[in-house]
Amino acid sequence: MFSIPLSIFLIPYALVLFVFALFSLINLFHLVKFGEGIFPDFIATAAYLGVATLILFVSWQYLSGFNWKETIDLGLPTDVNQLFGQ
Amino acid sequence: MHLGSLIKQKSYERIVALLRRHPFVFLKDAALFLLLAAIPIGIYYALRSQAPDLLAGPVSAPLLGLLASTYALGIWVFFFTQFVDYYLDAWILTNDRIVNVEQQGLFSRTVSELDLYKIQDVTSEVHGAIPTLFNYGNVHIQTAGEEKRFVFEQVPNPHEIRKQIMDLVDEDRKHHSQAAT
Repeated sequence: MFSIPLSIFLIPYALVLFVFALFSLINLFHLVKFGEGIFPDFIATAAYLGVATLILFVSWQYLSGFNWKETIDLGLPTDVNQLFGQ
Repeated sequence: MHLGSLIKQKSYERIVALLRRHPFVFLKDAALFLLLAAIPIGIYYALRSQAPDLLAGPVSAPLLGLLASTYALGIWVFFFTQFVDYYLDAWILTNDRIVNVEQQGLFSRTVSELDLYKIQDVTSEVHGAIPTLFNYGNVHIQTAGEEKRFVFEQVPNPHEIRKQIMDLVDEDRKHHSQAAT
């Protein structure tokens, strides 16, 4: 049977994290460069970073409890002979 | 904006107002965010009652976890982008000119200026039940000829802003005519 490790799904997730970090940095850059440099700017930045950290922390806590070496059987035979019932 | 650096104030120039869209406009985005945030909670309870095996499976549970994390990060960064877009759109009204600062998404930013003495016509409008209730609307500023007009979009107290601009235009015209003579 053809099977893939569960950990393979961490690759697209890493890409998601990269895009998230990139967009966050661009937004924060805009806020720092073009904001007024007043209290609401700092509140917004702190709130954003706080919630983002919370999401990442909860995700880490939840996801680290799983066995990522688990495999997923896709139901396809890896041996060509099996395809023809030999 | 580091307002001073953005508009490089002239010696006689003073900032009269810094305008942004009415906060209610952003509240609509916040409500959309809350709605989007509530969806996975609803899905979780639906799965818990209808397909509890999915939440406990050795494969399905981590995959659902990855999906939920991706979704949460996605809507949070989307919400923050909306906030930055709202917050960085501004109109600066001085006794000499109007500066329009427009943030359009993440990679587009426009800053334009209009001298007050060139203004010929200012129109304020409030359309709809919610804008009437919260007193916000648009202010259209027209100059001579075919030039594109400025629009203050969804600003609080548009009628008062129109009056304020017309007063500033009169004041600026007097200043310019005195300077000419």
